[in-house]
Amino acid sequence: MSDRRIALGLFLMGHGHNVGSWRSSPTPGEDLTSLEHYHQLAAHAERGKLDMIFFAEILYSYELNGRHEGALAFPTLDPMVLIPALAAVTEKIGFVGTYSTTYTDPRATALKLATIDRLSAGRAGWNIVTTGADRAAANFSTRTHPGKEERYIRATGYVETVREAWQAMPELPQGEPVRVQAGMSPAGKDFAARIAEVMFTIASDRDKAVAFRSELQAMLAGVGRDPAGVRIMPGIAPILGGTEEEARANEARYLELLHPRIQLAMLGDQFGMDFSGYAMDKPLPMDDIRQAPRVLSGMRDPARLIGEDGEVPTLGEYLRRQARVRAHHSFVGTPEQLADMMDDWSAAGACDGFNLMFPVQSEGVPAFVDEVVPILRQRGLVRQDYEDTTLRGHLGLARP
Amino acid sequence: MTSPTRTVVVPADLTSGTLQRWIEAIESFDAAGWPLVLVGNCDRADPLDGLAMAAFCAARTARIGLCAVVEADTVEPFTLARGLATLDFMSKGRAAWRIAPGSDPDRSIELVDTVRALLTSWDADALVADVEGGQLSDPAKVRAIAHEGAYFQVEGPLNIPRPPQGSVPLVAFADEGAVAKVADLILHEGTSWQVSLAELPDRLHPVVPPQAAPFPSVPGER
Repeated sequence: MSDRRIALGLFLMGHGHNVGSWRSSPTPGEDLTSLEHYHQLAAHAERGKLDMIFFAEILYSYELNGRHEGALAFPTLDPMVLIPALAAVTEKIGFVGTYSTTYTDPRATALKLATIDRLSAGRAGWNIVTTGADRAAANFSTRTHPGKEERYIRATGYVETVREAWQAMPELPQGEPVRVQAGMSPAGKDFAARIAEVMFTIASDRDKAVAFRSELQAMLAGVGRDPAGVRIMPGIAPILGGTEEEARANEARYLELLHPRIQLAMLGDQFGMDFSGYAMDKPLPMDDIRQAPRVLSGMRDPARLIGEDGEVPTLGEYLRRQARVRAHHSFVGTPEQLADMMDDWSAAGACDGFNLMFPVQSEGVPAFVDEVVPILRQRGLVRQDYEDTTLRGHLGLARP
Repeated sequence: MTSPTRTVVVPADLTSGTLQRWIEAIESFDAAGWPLVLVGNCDRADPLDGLAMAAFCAARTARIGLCAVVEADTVEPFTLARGLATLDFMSKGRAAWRIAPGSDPDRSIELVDTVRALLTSWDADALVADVEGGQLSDPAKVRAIAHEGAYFQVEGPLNIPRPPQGSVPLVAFADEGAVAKVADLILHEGTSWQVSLAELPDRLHPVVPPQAAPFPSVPGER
């Protein structure tokens, strides 16, 4: 038995983090806006005694050349309304909702989180984002999206205002909701070292994750904070199967969910360019891509489209390659192998837990809770049952 | 003692301290068939967010309408429309909203217009979820709103489909001036019951379902 603990978050996004995951559901349209859909997943996570459920926020609709992009535009509900509804039908699991410091008012955000903390009896957390997407600006009476430095300056003052508002209210169940942060840029790390209690990170290499955690702990010590006071949780996208072959078959099946139309829309979204008129078996139209609107604004480097061999792939080849690539750590294997990997990362000091991003949640959540959690429990790496009632308590974070 | 026959419940003493007991009271109003309760509290010393509270109550009740009292001066229309649409989905079409008293009237009127435009920016049948065609929504049925006003400039569309009620009704008291003029449902002294926990009877008077829906129909298709 181990005295290490692995914190577990479940990042729910529609039907899953595979952009075509809705195509796996018999009732895709209904699910996306129904409390029952999210409740079923949350209840399963709570049966697995997970620490928390995490929701992102998207503040714009996908469009291309002024036309709504129907292949990508899945609804993303307001996390600060979805979470209290889920809190009413769960008992112990924590909830982290994302809200932007660039496009909301700190007084309103403080009030939402405080109310959710009361309604849930201490299970609220806030993922503090500055909103990276410049397209949100047009929905928020702003002509130009502020630059990163400016956004983090505003975020610092914003968080201070929110915390002051919390302190001025009658005492909250957790003292203050848990502060979560996800940016890994230098500005993001600096911000995290000063304000975060949980950090969601991107890491697919264990040794790099160890180095990142040491660096952040040194930064925490540098600003006079307890280096053990922040939980670092990399995102991971597990695809499980009873055997390795089964897991690989599931991976192949998930790639099929990415309908060519969805893949073309994803590529179009990267460059702000319509690819539907180009032939799948012809090389990528590099000259046109270099002229594309989002390349000019520096969002993507077209050189990255070209393979290591210097060959320009066909549009079809590129889409197939792209479908496999994910920023977050993808894992394909058996429950035992996933438990081993998590145990190994934890033992090496690479992280304090994981944020689970299943490509297809209706399959991934039950498989993880029913098959991976029991192994982690047997090794003493996760709790047998909830020992506390608040998110702060689950994560072992001190009250402010 | 039985409760009066006025049917819209306006909690008079909803605070952090009475929150749990008020949730239980709202569950009782729901069971007794009352049509609408106003939730939220903009008391500076002990405020509660109306949308969060309404969403929590939505999951604990089956039929009662839930009107979120909204602090209008600190919210952008895109955020508010996202919150109201989500509440309407969570409650399966039982959401309403009221602008907190004391909000800037000119800004509030433009907020109402913009929120309504966003809530109706998807046609009711725009979410096609075409598995074979790889198309979740029909681009011809989702439109930008391109709102250019004195307070807000919002491109849209909303990134949430058309809510179950078609839009989310705005509730106002008759004496609330400009906002009352644009409201979908007007409350009078005689139609609302401002009540504190201590004044609630042990047994609530059951309300006979009204002939008509409590809300007038909302512009746009249903």
